[in-house]
Amino acid sequence: MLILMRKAGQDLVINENIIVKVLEAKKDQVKLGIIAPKDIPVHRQEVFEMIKEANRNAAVQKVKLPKFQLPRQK
Amino acid sequence: MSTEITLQMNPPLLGFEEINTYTLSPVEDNPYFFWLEADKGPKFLVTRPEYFFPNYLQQVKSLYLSNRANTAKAVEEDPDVYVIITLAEKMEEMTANLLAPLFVYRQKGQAAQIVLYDSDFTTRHHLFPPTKHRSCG
Repeated sequence: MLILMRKAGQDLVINENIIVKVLEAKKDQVKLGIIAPKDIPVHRQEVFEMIKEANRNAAVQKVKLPKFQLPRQK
Repeated sequence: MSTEITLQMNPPLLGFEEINTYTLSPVEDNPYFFWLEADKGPKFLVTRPEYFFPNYLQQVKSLYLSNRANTAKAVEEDPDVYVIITLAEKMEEMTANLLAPLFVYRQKGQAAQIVLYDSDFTTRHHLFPPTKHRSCG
């Protein structure tokens, strides 16, 4: 892991097309701005944990389905 | 869709990183649901969002596909969008993951779970919202 020390106002460049801006630095929190091409997804890491958990909860072991009523047509 | 199709999940589903190949097939006698199933792995119930969340598809397209169109990958085939369902004993408790829909590229035999951003979607939207009880008074 590359570790860098930055101050507010000092930017980072990744791969020439992604800029990470340090907008504000407080005691235990930093505010970042990220400029990246639109097709590069940027997410908080918690989002991935949430989706991982959702996928695990959604995986069914038993084949049995509850009885469905067909949704009402509008 | 009347028959089953084989899909390569690329990248693999989060939480199931070791599984790449799934089949997607309709649930018997039920036009609304499909099984997404790995040979020796998990099985998911999925649905087409338009059946339950009428505006969702349009929002997904504007959130994700429009971004895509600006890039060099614009020639890609339009994916079919599915959402993964979390089953529950009671129907009213069944939820769909609208934060991370499944994009299925039928012709290429590829699929991927896409994480939407800049949206209010969560991993748990009720398929059958509890009915409002009318008070007779």
